[in-house]
Amino acid sequence: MTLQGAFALITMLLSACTTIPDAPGNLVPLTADQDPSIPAIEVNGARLHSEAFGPEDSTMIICIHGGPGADYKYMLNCMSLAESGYRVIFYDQIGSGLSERFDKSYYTDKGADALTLMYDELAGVIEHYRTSPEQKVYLLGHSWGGMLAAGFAGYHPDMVQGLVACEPGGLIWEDIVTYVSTSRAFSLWSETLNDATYLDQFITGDENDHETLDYKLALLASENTITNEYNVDGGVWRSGAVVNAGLFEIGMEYEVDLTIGLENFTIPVLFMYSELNEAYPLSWAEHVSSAFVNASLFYVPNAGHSGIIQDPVIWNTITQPRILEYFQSL
Amino acid sequence: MSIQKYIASLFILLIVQQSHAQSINWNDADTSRPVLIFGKFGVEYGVCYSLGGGYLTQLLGFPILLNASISLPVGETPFDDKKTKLGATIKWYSYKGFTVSTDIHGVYRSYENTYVHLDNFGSDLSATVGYYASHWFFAGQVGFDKAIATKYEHTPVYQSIYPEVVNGWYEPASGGNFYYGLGAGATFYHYTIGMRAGKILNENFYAGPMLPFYGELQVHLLF
Repeated sequence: MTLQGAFALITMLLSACTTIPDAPGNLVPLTADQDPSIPAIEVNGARLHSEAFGPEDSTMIICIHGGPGADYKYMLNCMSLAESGYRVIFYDQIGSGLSERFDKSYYTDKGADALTLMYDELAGVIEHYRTSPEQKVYLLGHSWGGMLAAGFAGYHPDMVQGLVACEPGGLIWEDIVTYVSTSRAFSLWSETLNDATYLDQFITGDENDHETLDYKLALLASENTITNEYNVDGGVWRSGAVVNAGLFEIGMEYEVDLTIGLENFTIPVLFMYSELNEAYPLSWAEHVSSAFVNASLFYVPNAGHSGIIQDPVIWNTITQPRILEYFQSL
Repeated sequence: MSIQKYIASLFILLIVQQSHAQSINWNDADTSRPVLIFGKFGVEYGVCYSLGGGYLTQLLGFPILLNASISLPVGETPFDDKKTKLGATIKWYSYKGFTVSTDIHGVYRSYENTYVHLDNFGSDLSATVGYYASHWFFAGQVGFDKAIATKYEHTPVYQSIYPEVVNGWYEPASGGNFYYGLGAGATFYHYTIGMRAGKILNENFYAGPMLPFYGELQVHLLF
């Protein structure tokens, strides 16, 4: 075979499987605005992936996922709270999971008010599902979701009648930076760090190339040996890289404070932290929870950061019983 | 660029590895000692070490160093990530020690984590301007590293998360980064010990990679 013949054969074989990199649906799932079969609600001009379970008129439990930029898939164990008579509501935050995407400037142009956007969105979700003004609202926030829940409780103290915060990284910017640094302090020699950094020469993506950036964030977040969270059991549907970058940029620029108004929120708070998250020892849980007027700490053994809720055994035997006990005490 | 054109260009450009113009001492390089071997250790998209070799010859009257190398990042899983380069470093112009050269390299790299195995063909092109004396040199470099076509092969873990994911070769380019920096070195007994360091910037200029810099120590031997 001549060199030209060999070359032609190789190129024919390779070209036979050529496809397109960022076509919707190739690497990450479609979002609710792209796929009408995805259950969704309209809130403040954004189409949000959302579902609700349990009696419509009973006390609402709003499950608020982490990130920013994760989704509620890993919180689906919370659905079992509906069996105890609660109205359990899930939603993917704007730009996250299967909810509609917006350009980064949509967040950054709002400056510090981008946090208000997230509060207004949560208020919109509550209003969408609320059937009467008397219907109680409990917030169940994990990680960034716990931070958002705390900020919301300070912003709208009269709208919240109960709050569970699971390992919110920090509630003031200095603490957020500390937690993020600690929870990502991988050894320079580790596979984890090199898996994260080595990828940058394969995939870059434009600032608002949602498909590519969401996919890349999913690869980066596949595991964390410090917080002991592993998204290998289907932890997220789709990451939200642009909202993640936008909110972090705002956080850095404006040094966001999620404790504003918390002194007016006097309802007891259940504050959970896990045994296996090395970045969240008791001392950090005491430090972060001190922003609440009345918080009680609860230690979740044998769980990592997401395992508090995601691990079905932990959820059924430890987390859910304690949450139900807390809700029943309110 | 299609994969066919890319492969054709690799043939045309003498398929090759990254940026030796900055660290080879051209003042010490002549065809009486045409064989080069080198080792590197440093940071470039992770902590990496690499080994390589080359052959110095003449092409159309220009000194050309044909070279190849393999680079591996550290980590608990050896050989799951790697980068190989094959190419040429060409000295185009020299006047009283001031030298202009370019590097043209074809790149094959692979990556693997819990979710995916990636194979990528790319190119690395750079230009170097420096001053080369008998026993030392100093140079500046700009370059562009392009991931041209990438094959995605997802693991059962990711397929369980997103069953509709499409495996295969993806194009056009999935990524690219500019880099620029400085290098310097000392030469004795045909050994050159050099270092280079600089900044890496996303091709769209809006951000850098997670490690937005590179830096490495190099040892070269001509014989």
